[in-house]
Amino acid sequence: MSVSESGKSQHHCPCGGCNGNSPERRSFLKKTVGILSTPLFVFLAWPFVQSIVATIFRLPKATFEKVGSVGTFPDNEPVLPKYESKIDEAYLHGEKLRDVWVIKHSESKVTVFSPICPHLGCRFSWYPEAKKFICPCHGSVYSIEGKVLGGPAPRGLDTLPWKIENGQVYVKWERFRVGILQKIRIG
Amino acid sequence: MSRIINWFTYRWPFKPIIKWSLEEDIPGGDSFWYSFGATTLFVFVLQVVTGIWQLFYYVPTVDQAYQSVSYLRYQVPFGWLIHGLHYWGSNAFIVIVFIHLLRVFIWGAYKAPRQLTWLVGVLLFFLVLALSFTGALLPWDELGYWAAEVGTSIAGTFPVVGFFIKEFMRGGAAMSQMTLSRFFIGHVAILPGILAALIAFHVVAFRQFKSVGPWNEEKRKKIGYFWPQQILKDLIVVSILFVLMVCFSAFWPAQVSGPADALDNSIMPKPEWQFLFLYQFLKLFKGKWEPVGTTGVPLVLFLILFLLPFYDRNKKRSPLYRPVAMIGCFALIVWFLLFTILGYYSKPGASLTAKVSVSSQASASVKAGAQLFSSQGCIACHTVHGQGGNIGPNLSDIGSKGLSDQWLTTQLRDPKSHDPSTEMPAFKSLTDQQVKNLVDFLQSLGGSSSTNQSSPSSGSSSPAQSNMAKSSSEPNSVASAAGSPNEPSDSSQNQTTQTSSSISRGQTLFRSQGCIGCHTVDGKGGSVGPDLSNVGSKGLSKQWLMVQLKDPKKHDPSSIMPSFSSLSDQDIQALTTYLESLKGTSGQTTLSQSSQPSTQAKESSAATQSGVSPQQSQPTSEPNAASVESLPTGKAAYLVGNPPHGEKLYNNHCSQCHGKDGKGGVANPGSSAGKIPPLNPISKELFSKNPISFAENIDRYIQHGAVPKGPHPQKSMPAFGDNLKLTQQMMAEIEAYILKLNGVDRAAILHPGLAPYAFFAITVGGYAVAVFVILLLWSRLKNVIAGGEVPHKPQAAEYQTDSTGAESQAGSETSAARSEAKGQAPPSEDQPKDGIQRLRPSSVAFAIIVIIVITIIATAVMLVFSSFVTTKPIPSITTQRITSQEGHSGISTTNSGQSANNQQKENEE
Repeated sequence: MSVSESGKSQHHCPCGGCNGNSPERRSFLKKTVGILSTPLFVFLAWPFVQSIVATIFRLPKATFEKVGSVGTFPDNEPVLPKYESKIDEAYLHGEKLRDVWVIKHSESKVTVFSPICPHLGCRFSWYPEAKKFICPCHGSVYSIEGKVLGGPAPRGLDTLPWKIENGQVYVKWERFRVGILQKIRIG
Repeated sequence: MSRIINWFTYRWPFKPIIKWSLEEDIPGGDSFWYSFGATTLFVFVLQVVTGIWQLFYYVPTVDQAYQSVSYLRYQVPFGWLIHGLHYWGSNAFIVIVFIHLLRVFIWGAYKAPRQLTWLVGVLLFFLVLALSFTGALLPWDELGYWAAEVGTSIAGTFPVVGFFIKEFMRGGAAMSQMTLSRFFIGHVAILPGILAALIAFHVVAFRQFKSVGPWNEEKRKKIGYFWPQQILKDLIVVSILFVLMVCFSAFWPAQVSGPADALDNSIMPKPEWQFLFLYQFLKLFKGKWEPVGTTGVPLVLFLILFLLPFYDRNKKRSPLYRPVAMIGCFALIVWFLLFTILGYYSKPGASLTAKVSVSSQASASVKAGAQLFSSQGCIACHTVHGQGGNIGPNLSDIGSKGLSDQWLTTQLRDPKSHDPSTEMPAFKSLTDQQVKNLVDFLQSLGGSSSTNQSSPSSGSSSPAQSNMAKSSSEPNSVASAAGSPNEPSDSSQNQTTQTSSSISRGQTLFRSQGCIGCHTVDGKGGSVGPDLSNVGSKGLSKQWLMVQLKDPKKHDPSSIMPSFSSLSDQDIQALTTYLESLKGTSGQTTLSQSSQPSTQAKESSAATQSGVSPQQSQPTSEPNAASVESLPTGKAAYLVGNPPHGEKLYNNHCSQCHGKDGKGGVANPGSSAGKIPPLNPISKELFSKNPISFAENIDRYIQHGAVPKGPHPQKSMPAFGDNLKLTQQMMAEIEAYILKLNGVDRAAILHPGLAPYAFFAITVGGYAVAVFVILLLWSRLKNVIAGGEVPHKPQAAEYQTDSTGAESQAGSETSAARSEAKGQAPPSEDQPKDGIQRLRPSSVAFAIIVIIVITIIATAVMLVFSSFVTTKPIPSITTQRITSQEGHSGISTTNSGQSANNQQKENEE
């Protein structure tokens, strides 16, 4: 570098007097600055990316919430009661109506299904005479036990944790990833 | 003026930039075809301005987004216009960018060296689509909510990264506040920022190589100028578009789709028109091919457009020498239009309440099959006679396809044996009889002559089949047993089994047919109709019960019980058997034992049914008609509902008591009125011309319920809100429908500023005047121009683009005098004097300035006029809450200057 600096650069430099400002030196500096600053930018980008991505995968705390009195549910017939659920999502704390499918087997045993179809997240319905859950979006069909009878659904209906205390049914609201075989909780 | 400009230019390249942006010669001259680029720019600016204006009111929260948009649209003066322009602007944006794209394609303007201009242009097109997608969610209404829900799910089907993209867009697992925040920031900051930057890039790239001009070499010899000729044409197109958009905003405001409600199953959304073709095309991809339809097709479309300059290297620009490209383009457009139209007329998803209707002449077996087709959920996936889903094939003419009964039976029992990849579930739980019925029904489906074909097909079936048909025509318990899904319908079964299976079938029907919604049995069920826990011990004959089920009006003309004549005879039989078995013996509660249930008992049963303990429901059942007014209104009163959707919900939840269309007439023994009050017309005390007051008045009753006055009213209004029977959004929809029944528009514009129609009239008037004045000046100017006159505008010299202009500028003093005197063209100007080509830039500049001045004056006049209209003190109904002291009059005049709504609405009409 120093050889070309003293040799060629003199007549290239317009100002004449500036020593060591040859085009070679400039382009060397450009590359060096570029190479050195790239990791710096990547490092600086990290907090910016992280701040808008990381919160997505936070799981909200699920607690048992009262859905209704077990006596009000018919035997072995799915019903979709609405109930007030606490939302505890990021900075939001309040209440929100939700609903879940409840099938009562006895006074002390129920099955609770999430109302979200595991195929692509639509809301499915119960056909009482066919004794089947059918999702109107893509025709997934489930038995009363939640097993897939037909359609594109990759897994059976998602059950939710429940408990019965003093004749009241309590349910934990959870969401699962749709469209895949495994039941992975995402919310 | 020129000194100021010079001062600026010395410090900032003011003049060069203007020169660069305006001075351009166009080979082949200016054309209206070239106006779409500039029009796009105009729409972009309009979207930015109206978008920012909306932000003065809009808040991006799930609780308030919908109300804030409603407030802007209905209560902010000219809010309807700002919102309407933004809404129609977004549609116009897509259309005009597309036309621009198409124009560039036909002219071959994407070819070297303009590839980069095209690439950026395609990116801009997709950005505009992204903006319309994100913008639709912001009001948090049904349409936008479900479009975003489906849209993000579709992104989620993208291989490998799909899940991340979906979660990133939603800001979490479910649609929530995080989603709204993300869509908001995308719509108002990120996407418009990128759009603006790319537009600048696009324009610079365009200027680099100038207009492409016509492909015909002869035509290219004529040279036109961007300023002023092309700009004038651009302005004409832009101003016409603007008037059109005002027209659309005034006459076709954005649809009210109701507040978003994640719990509402009755919504089956369809995407906006620009995505309809994808939606319809997606239906062709089933099963494992679905991701191909959801992500592959849009990706391929993008690549076809984006990479066009790289795979189409044909140097020829004339469409005549590019047959493949032209045919491809034409095919794409036809495909787009075809699927858009198909999508437009298609029924969204599957209708879960759909029923197949068969002719009354059809055999009993076919009827039973039709019944099963609905009840077994076949209709969720298959369409018959325009009803049903589109997941499986349309079966409307399956009977004419020559499929054997055996084949159909196998298809029902074990579909995988015909096609291992089918998604149809195996209906193994059906009885042989039911499968027969279904097969008969399917064979009867053969286009127009379906009913005629049905009898031979049922005749050709097994003896059991004809037994079935016979037995169902004269009801007995054998037939009813046949309908039971879990018992084999063997005619050799003994009487006891038949009866018990009939009872269990009846019990199922009692629930599935919704009887339990109105009638209580053993403490469970609704309180609309009488308690039936004890109906079997009342000595009612079987015949009486059957008539009551099939035609309740026969017994009591004022009965509100719906007729269940659509049920098959077996089903009626089973229900009757079940009802007769209800003798109040098993697990009877004390409340349901009383044959004349008191109000108190009904309240408790309603409370138990809704999962609210009696203590909690006490305040809701206590209030009588007088004290409901003191209860607070719910959120529903302030949500603008969508009447057609409200009608659906009304028919499900309200019409049993308030009658179809709210006509009322339903008896309520024990109440002092004797009847359930009709909602159409509604009581004068609840009515208000102001939609908000009206909604508030009825909302209290819907939220908290009410017990009518009287000694022992049999029926009382349930507390739909307090008992969580309906969501606030659903109640808002129902309220909008009730308002509509009474001739009040929930979405009426309360403070229009100036009524939309009047505003449109003024806009058109102003535009017409402007055009007239310009034409007038035109004829005058022509003489001036012909004389080489240039008005005293110093900067005009800067933009002279033809040599004669410069010349005339030099001698303007003398030529002006000359033309004044002669009023004729000087001999030096030997060419004809009409046509824009001859016009001097300065004169057109003058015309444009006149347009702008007139527009400003018209706007000022309009604003003055509108402020006069809005501030006129008309005593009016305010939107204030009715306090209990004010009671039903509910009309406070404390805010009288504020809402001239009703009067104005009347004036409009």
